[in-house]
Amino acid sequence: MNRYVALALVFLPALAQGGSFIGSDPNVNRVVHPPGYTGAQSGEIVATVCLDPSAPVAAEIPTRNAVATFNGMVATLGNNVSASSVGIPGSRPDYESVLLHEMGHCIGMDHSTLGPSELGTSDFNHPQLYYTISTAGGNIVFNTGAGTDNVRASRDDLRGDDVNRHWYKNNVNNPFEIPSGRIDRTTYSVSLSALPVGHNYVEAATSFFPCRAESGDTSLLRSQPRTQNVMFPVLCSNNVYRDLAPDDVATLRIARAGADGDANLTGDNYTLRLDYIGVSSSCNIRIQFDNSAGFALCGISFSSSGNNAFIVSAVARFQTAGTGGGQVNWWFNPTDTSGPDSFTLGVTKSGGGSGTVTSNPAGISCGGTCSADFDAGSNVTLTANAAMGSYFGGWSGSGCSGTGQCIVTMSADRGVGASFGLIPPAPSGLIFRSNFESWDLDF
Amino acid sequence: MLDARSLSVNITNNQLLPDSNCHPGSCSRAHSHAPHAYRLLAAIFIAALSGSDLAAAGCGKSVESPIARLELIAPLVAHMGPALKLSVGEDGCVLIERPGYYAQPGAHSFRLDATELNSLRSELAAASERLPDAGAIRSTVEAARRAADDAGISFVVADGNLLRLSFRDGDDRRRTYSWRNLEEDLLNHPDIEGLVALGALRDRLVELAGDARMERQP
Repeated sequence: MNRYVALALVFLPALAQGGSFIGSDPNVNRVVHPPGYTGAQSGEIVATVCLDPSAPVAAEIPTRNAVATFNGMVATLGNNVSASSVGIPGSRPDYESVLLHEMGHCIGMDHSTLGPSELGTSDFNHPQLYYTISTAGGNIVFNTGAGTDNVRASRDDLRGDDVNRHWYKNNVNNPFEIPSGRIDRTTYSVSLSALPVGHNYVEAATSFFPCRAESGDTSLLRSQPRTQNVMFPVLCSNNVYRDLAPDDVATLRIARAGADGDANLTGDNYTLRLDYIGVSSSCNIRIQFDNSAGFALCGISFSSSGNNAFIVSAVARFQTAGTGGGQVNWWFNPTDTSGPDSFTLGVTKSGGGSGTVTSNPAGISCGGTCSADFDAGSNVTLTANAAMGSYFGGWSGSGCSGTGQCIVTMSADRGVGASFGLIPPAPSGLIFRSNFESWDLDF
Repeated sequence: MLDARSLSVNITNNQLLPDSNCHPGSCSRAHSHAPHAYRLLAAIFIAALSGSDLAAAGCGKSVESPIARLELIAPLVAHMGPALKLSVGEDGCVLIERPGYYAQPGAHSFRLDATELNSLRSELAAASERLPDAGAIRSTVEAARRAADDAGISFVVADGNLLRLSFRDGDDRRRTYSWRNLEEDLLNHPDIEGLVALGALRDRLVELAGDARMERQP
């Protein structure tokens, strides 16, 4: 989808929701965190992404785009569009769309609905496909029924004792709502006990255009633009999704409330910045092309503790690209939509006092260096230190105020003001002369 | 066992077997000096055995009861058919089918020569010696997974491929294996011999799918 249209759609009044986490079967309460997060940090986590030397040069731009999409965390209604509408010829699969899906797995997300992987089937007509992701309950089989609306993955589905794995917003259960406010394990649930009255099961955002409508289409059911979680388990022919759906963003934000699951307890909250480092065989999320991938997949290793899991390494694999036998005719988006790699942060000092401003990560030491470039999407922390005889009056600009730390998100060029004032010379004493005797006052 | 067009072409080109998929010099040479009349009779005989529908498939009936068959199913696009479907007929005909998202979709085939076919048969027989049944391999892998879990590290593969592989062993019995995420299991458990043997057999068959003699079938 055109990014500007996508951005515009973000602001449409929407009728959030979350998806599921990989490795949460059978522990449906398990939340999976991306490479780099250990459960004990707060602030920005950086996970490096690289293209293995096996990758074609043409993969670079769409890889940058997908990285930027995850860094942007923009929830987009109408993210499911036809390949022809974005200029993809024939039946070539869109690498950027597939990478978005596999990268989602590589940072912890699982499928939004039951798919061929979960059911072990290649039958497109399998009657249990595309129902909201779950584990089989005590009867060891999936129970699926489309309910009165006859649409799979909708809120009136009849699922027997199937155990839900799809996080949803308590008392809302609407996968088309743009995520906002507090998003964590207190405001979202997997337990069905927080469903609104009248709902039977958790709804997922699906859009089969132009695939088989009879398989279900909750976008159509809810009169929403064609919106589908990028973690939908099937790539419909001629479908493209290069933006995150509300479900995707909510799922990632649930994890970012930290290992304690509480967004208000900020000691372990984090943000994730994917850092594309180019061609390398060593990074946190490696993308390789080989002859036995078949199509595309992601393999991860993780450690787990209670209801949290921490990804240690991830490798996304794609079938070799090319025009020969055994090679997939991948479409590599030639248009770079990722934006600049870096933005400039400038600090302007004011006031009659003096002092220095320094940054973390390093770059600004103002003093002499009052401007520096920082990675797009990164968070820069500025700290002010007043010189002897001066005091720090406060920050201004780029959302900073007060006299504490100033944290700037580098999503554009930024400017921050730092005011330093002079401390009035403290009187060493006052001499009062009157008709009385004189005396000194010490302060 | 091919169509009349291929027969005539091959006869004209003085090739042994009526196979449109054999490039000059690439087919079995065991009878390459057979009299022209013999070749003609053989061609007529084979053509008579071949139904027109089978003729179009390139390998005809030989791949209906193959000595080896492999299917690789990629879940994300499973509805478009297996990412790779490969069958090796008793006569050495190799039929390869790829779905529409491949650069060369559809059915392709070529023919192994007698030496190659014998070599493949020997490899299959040897593989059957090294390969326990699928259940035994699975038990070993599951135990290794549990040990890894206990050690604090788990592995998960999303969208991992389903491999279906069958072949006739040295006693002409059909051996069948179905395995999901073989590549990742091999990476994580390279010391499990049965898994390694299964991977080697898979690689051997996948290698056939990249043979330069492969030709598109109508």
